[in-house]
Amino acid sequence: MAKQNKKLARIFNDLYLIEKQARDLYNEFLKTLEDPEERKVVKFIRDQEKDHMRIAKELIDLVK
Amino acid sequence: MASEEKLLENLDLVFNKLGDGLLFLDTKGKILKLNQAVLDLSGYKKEELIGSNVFKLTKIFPSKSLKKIILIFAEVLKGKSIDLYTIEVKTRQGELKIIEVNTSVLKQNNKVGMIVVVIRDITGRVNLEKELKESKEIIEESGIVTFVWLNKKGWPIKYVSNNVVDIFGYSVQDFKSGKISYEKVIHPKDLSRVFQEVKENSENLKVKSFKHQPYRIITKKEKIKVINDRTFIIRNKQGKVIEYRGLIEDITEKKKLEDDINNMFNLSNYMVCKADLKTGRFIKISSAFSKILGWSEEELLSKPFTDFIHPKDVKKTNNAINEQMKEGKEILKFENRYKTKKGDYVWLEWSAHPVPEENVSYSSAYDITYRKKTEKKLRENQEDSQRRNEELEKINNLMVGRELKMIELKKEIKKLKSGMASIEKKKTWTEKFQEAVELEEAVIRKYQTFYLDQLKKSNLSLLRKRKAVKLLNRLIDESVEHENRFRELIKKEYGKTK
Repeated sequence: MAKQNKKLARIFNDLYLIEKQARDLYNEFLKTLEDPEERKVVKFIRDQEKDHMRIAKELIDLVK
Repeated sequence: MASEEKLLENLDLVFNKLGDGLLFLDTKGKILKLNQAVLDLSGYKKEELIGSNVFKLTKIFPSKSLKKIILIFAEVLKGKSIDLYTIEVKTRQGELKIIEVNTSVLKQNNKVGMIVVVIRDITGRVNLEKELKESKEIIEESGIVTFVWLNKKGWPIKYVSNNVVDIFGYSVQDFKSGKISYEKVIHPKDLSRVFQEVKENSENLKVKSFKHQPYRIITKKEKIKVINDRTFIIRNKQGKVIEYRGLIEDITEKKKLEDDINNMFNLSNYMVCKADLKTGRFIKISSAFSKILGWSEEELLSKPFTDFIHPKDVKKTNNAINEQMKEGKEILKFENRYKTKKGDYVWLEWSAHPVPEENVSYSSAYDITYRKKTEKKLRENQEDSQRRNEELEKINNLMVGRELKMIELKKEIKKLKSGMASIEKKKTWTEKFQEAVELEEAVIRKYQTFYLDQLKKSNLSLLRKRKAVKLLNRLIDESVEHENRFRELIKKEYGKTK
């Protein structure tokens, strides 16, 4: 794999970690968040973060 | 008696002073008397010849000459008159000479008494005629037609070489008989110019010969040909022109080829030139030179080409020229800058094919100024982009490190806070959502600029690049939406506390 691709893989790996942190954070929110509307929003975002983690994985695979 | 003796003595003196050789032979061929001219011509002494029989003088007469002498002698003895004839003789020094012989008889009592032979050395004349004939043949074979025109109206022809038919189609007879005049064969559009050139040069007494500008003639088959005419002016002692002698050469094909080359040369958008490597000057340039550089052809040919080259490029240009001179090395993609008449410089890329034995180089160049400018801009952009990337990378590393640390720190704080929940007030939702906003912002900021840029520059296939860009764009768009949603939640929470 070319140097540039390795660099990209490293970058996308960082992206995966951030998305994972976001998912974990929003999971934490959902444990205590009581407002139903707010829960709905956070839940939606949390699910999308799960998808973002999948995207980050896909990006890593693309440059490998 | 004394007077008669004196007369004979004088006759002897005259006899010996004659320029032509004179021999008296008896009817059997014995030499009775000869003069000094015979001795001078043959190189023999008087005593070596007097009394000798001419038919036995094989050392003087080669066999061919001897046979001829015998035959003629027989004819003379029969009383026939013989015209002048030539024979070859060999001198004492072994030199072969050509002599012209006149034989006659002296009669006594109506009988042949003595043979009188007059000889003349014509070797020089014969050799000259031979050389002249050879020269004429060479000239005719070279395709050059020689003319002798009389200085009279219509330039009547006194002489013209046989090969005239090859160029003009007309025969020698056509010209010499006056059936066709030279004036008539010159193209009407060139005639006045030819006249003028003859007039001007004839009026100048110092001019012995001149070369006409090539002019057109119309052949017998009405074909137009272009000829070169070098004319020699023959004057009398008073300087009056008697005749003109001309050497005419057909240059139609040469001219056509020259015109074709010139057309190709000038129609080309490329700068094509022939340069003298020794003097460092252009010999011939195409019109593209003037179009691109703005200088006229005269200006470009008047100075060494290094005068037009950017001072910083002169040294490398001279080095390239020296390589061409020494090694005959072909030069490809050589770049230098030439000054335009406006004062700015254009970049030229050269290919040169040198011919060192002629000290010339055939070169072509084209204007690469635009390419050079683009390359410069691209290089600057690349440098700028590189610099930006480096800065962004630094920032990114710093940010990622900071963000990760921040998140870790926040976790620690959270743990601490949960541990201290009893004594400390819980973190508000406003603060929690603010944390989420910061996280989303981090994603957006990074992927929107730096990572996309890195992706574009990578050597991934176009298909993969497109797919990756599509995924990242979706991720960024959704992160922006997340950020906005969390900001709205912050507002809502803020409203609640109010």
